[in-house]
Amino acid sequence: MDMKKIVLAGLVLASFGFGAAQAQTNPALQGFNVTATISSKCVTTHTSTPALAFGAVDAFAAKTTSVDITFKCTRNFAGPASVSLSNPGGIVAGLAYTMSVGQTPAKTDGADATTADAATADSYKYTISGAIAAGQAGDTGAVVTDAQTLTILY
Amino acid sequence: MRNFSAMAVFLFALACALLLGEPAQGGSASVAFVVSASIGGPGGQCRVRTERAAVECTRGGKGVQGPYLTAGLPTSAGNTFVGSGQQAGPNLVRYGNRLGVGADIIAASTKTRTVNANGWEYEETTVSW
Repeated sequence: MDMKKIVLAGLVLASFGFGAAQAQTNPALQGFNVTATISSKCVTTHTSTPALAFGAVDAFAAKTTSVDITFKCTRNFAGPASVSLSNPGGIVAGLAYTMSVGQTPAKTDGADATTADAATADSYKYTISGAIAAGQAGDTGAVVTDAQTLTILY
Repeated sequence: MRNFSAMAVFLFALACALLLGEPAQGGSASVAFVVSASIGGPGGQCRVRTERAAVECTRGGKGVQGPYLTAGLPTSAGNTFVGSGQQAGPNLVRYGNRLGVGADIIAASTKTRTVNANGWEYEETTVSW
């Protein structure tokens, strides 16, 4: 076998090897989509129980106070449709009080999602106003707290 | 006909995609909160109710201290007042009936005016709380 044949045979074998290598580093591509839909939701932002605190009330005198309650909700959804209180008022320290809450919350926009970052929540703040009417003596032996609930529908 | 069917399928798929893209809604969220208050002042407070001839105090409070009423009523806590009437005894000012929202009533139940040889009998005293 002369040198030319040896070289030729080497080239043929090398081409087979190259072809095999080419097949391993050139895979077929198949694109796919990642999909999801949102079931919008709102949750409270409070880690402890909020308080509508009148503090020390002078008997027979009127007093008002307020508390803010905030929900964080899915970004860009339509927003809460309504808000309600479990009761319009109650009795605390022997004093009758009333409450009200505005139907239109103060909204703080979150951030839209990007290809790199998730969206952040929109916030909705409700202010509950409480009032104790004048002319009430109160009761030093009565309970000094009353449980209530604020509910939003969306 | 084939083109019409293809267009219908496309529009249906587009509508589905748009509907799925809208955030679904429907739910509620609640926050429990407490309402709190306490009665200011040591043992509550009192006020004069001239029209009821009484002093109203916070229910369960300490009530009125010091001199009893003889007649008339003070205009505010600690005021000296002048009235006319008959001193019925040391308990003329009594811790009385409960009226209204949690109010204890210290009633001046005797307000009878009397006339002595000098005319109207006047007493002067102080009520405090």
